Amino acid sequence: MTPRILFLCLFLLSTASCGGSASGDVTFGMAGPFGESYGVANRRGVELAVEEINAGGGIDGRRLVIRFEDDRAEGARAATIAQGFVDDLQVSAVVGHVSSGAMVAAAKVYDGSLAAVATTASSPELSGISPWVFRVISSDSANAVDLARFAERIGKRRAAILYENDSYGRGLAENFRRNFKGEVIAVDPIDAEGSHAEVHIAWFVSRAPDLVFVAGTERSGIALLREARRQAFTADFLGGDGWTGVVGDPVASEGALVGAPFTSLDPRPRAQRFVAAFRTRFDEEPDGNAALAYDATFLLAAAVREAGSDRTAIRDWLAARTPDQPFQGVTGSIAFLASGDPVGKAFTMTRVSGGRLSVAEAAR
Amino acid sequence: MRIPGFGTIGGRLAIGFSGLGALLVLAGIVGSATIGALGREVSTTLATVRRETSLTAALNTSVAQELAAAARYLDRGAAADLEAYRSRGWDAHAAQAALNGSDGLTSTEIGLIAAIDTRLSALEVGLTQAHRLRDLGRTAAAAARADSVRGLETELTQDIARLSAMRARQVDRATDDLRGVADRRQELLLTVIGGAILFGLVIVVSTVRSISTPLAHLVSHARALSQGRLEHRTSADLPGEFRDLADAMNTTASSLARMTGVATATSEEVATSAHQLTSAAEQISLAASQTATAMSEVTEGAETQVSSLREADIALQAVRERAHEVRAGAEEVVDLSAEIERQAREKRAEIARARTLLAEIRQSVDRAAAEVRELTATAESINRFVGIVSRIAEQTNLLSLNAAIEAARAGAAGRGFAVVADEVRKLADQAQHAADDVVQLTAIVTRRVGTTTLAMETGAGRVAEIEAVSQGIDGALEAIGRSAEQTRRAALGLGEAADLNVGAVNDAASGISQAARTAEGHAAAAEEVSASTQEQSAACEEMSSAATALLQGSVRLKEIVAGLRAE
Repeated sequence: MTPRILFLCLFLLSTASCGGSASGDVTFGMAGPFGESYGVANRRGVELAVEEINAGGGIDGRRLVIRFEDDRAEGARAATIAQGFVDDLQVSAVVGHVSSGAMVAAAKVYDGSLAAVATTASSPELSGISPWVFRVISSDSANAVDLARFAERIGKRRAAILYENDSYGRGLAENFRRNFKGEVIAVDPIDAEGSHAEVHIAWFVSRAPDLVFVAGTERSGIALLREARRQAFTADFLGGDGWTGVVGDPVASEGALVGAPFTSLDPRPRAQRFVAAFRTRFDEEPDGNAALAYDATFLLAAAVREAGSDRTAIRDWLAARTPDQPFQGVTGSIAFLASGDPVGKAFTMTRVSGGRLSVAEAAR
Repeated sequence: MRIPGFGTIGGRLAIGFSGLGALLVLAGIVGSATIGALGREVSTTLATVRRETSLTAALNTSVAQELAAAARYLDRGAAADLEAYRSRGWDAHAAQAALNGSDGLTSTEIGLIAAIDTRLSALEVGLTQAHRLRDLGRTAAAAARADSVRGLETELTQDIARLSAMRARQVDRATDDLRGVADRRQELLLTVIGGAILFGLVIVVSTVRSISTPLAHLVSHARALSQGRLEHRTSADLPGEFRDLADAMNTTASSLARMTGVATATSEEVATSAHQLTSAAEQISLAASQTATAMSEVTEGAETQVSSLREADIALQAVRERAHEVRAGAEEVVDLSAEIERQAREKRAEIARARTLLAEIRQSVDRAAAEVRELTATAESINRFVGIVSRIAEQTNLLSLNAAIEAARAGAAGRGFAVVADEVRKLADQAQHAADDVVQLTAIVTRRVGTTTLAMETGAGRVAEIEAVSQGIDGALEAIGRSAEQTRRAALGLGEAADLNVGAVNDAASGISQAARTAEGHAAAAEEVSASTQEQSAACEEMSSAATALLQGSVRLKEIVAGLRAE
C-alpha cells in the first residue's frame, strides 16, 4: 500500500463517511433532464418514494435525502455531475441517470466507485458497461423485439421509422429495423423538437406506410402526431417507453400505440397503491418514468437497510438480486443479469385512450 | 581519514577498479532500464495514438463520404446514394462513440466530441428532410433546406479538424513527454558515466602520484648504493610496498657495511693463517716419513709374537677338557646323595605318622579296659538287687497263701478277698520268674566282659611291640640321612674345585688369545699408520697448495673491500 493510498484511507475513516456514516442522513444522488416532462416524471417518482420512506421512519431511523442534479440529457454534463457524486462522500448511491446518452457517459465515471441504478436509460450500449451500473428498465435491444413483434401481431407489414438522432433513438430504431419482419421504407432521423414534421408526414402520405414507428420522446412525438392529424395521415403510430408522455396532448395522441414499461392500469395491488399515492400527491397519472424511478429509489433504500451505506456493500447487494432473490417493486419483480440489465421485464403494449395508456387489445 | 586497504598500491587499484566496475554496471542497468521503459512507453503511446488517429480518420472519412452521398442523392435521387448516406452516417456515429469511449480525454475534447455528435445529428436531420422534399418534388424547398444546414457542415468540418489538431497536439505532448523522459534518463546515464570517468581519473592520478615520488627516493638510494655509499638511508613517508622496499634497501646497506668490515678483518686473518699453515704442513710431512719407517719394524715383531701364543693356547685346551669331565662326575654324586637324603626324610615322616596313630590306639584300648571293669562292678550290683526282689516275691507268695486260708475261713464273706489273695499270689510268682531271668542275663554279660578284657590286654601288648619296631626303623633312617648329607657335601667340594680349575685354564687361554689379537692389531695398526702417514704426506702437499690459493684469495678480497667505503 503506497503512502498516498494509506493517507486517503485514513482521511476517509476520519471523515466518518467512508461510503456513508453509521448515523445521520442517507444521501442518494439523482440526475436527469428535469426540463423535460419525462425527467420531471422521474423526479416525482423519486420524491414520492423518499416521502413514503421517511414517513415510515426512514432507513433504520435515518432520514433519506436526495441530491438532485439536472444533466439535461447531455453526456458531457452527466459525466461532470457523476464525478461530483463520486467525490461527495455523503452520497452512498445514485438513482439514475434517466436518459441513455447521459448514462452512457456517466457510467465510465461510476465504474469502480459508486453504484448507479438507471431508471429509464434503455440503450443497448449500457449492457455490461460497468459492474457498478444497473438499470430497472430493460434494454432497447429487448424492448425493440417486443415492439416489432407487437407490430406484426397487429398486422403491420410496411413500416416507416423515425428516430431522434441520439443514443436512445438510434439504438431503439436500429433494433426495431432489425427485428421487424415486414418492409421498412425509411429510417429517418429527426430532432427532439420534431421541427419540419410537415416534410416527414407529407412523405409518409405519398408513400403510405401502414405503421410509423417513432424512437423518440414526447415533444417530437406530439409534434408529429399533431402534423399527422393536420394532414389527415391515418396510419398507426407506435412509440417506445420514450413516448409515454405523449398523453400530454390527449387529442393528438388519441389512438397512438405505446410500448410502456408500466401502466397506471396495472391491476396488481402494489401498482395500484402506487398509482393512488402518486395521483394524490401530484394530481396526475403516473407513467413508466415515475414508476421506474420510484422502484429504483426503494431498491437502493432496501440495499442500505440490508447491507449498510458502504458503497461497495451496496453494489454487492444489488449484484446479488438474482431471479432467486428478486426485489419486489411496483413494476414487478426486479432481478439483474451480470450485464446489469433487469431480468424478464416485458413491455406492456398500450393504446392512448382519453389521455391515458390503456392496455392494447392485441397485447399479451 | 585513511581508507582501509588504500595504503598500498594494490589495494588502491583494487578499490579503484571495483568502484569503476560498479559505476559502469550501474550505467549499464540505468541504460538498459531506460531503453526498456522508453520502449514500453513509446509502444503504449504509439498504440493509443494509432487507435485515436484511426478513429479520428474514420470519423473524418465517414462524415466526408456521408455528406458526399447526401449531396449526390440531392442531385440525382439514386437509391444507392441514399443507402450510402445512411450507412456512412451510422459509421460516423460509431466512430464518434468509440472516440468518446477512449481513455485520457480532456473535458474540452469530450465537449468537442459531443458537439460533433450534435452537429452531425442536426445536419443529418436537415439533409434527410431535404432528401424527402426532393422525393416530394419540392426541389426548391429541398435546396433551401440543404442550404440551411450548410453552415452546420462547415462547423462540423471545422470541429473535426479541431479534434484532429487536438489529437495531434496530444501526440506532440506525448512525444514531448517521451522526449523529456528520454532526456532525463540520458542525463542520468551521462552523469553516471561521467562520474565513472572522473572516479577513474582520480584513481589513476592518485596512483601515478603515489608511485612516482617514492620511486624517485628509491632510485637515488639505489644510485648511492651502486656508488658504494653504504651510509645512505631512505626515511621519507612512502606507501605500503615502497615502504617495504625502502626498508629492505636500508637493511641491505647496513648489512653490506657490516659485511665489508667483517670481510676485511677476516681476509687479513686468513692470510696470516695461510702462511702458518704452509710451514706446518711441511713439518708434518717430514715427521710422517719417520713414523712410517718405525711402524714397519713394529709390524714384524708383532707377527712373531702371535705364532708362539697360538701354541700355548692349544695346550691349555686339553687341560680344560679334563677338568670338565671331573666336574660332571661330582655333579652326579651330589644328585644321587640328595635323592637318598630326600627319601630317608620322607620315610621318617611316614613312621612318625604311624607312631602317632599307635599311641592313639593304645589310649583307646586303655579307656575300653577301664569301662569293662566298671561294667563288671555294675553287674554285681544288679545281682544283689535281684536277690532282694527274689526274697520279696517269696514272702509275698507266703502272705497270699495265708490270706487265701483266712478267706476260706471267712466263708461266703471272704470269697471276694480269696479272689484278691489269688491275684497277689500270681503277681508274686511273676516277680519271682522275672528275677530269675535277670540273674541268668547278668551271668551271660559277666562272662562276655571277661572274654573282652582278655582280648584287650592281648591287643595292648601287640601295639607296644609295633612301637618298639618303628622306633628302631626311625633310628636307622636318621643314620642314612646323615651319611647321604656328608657324601653330598664332599661331592660339592669336588665340583667347586673342578670349576676353579676350568676357570683358571679359561683365563689363561683368553689371556693368550687377547695377546695374540693385540699383537695382530698392533701389526695392522702399524700398517695403517704407515699408509695414513703416506696419505698425510699427500694431504700436506694439497694443504700447502690450498694455503697458497687462500693467500691469493684474501689479497683479492682485501682489494674489493677496500673498494666499498666502510662506515
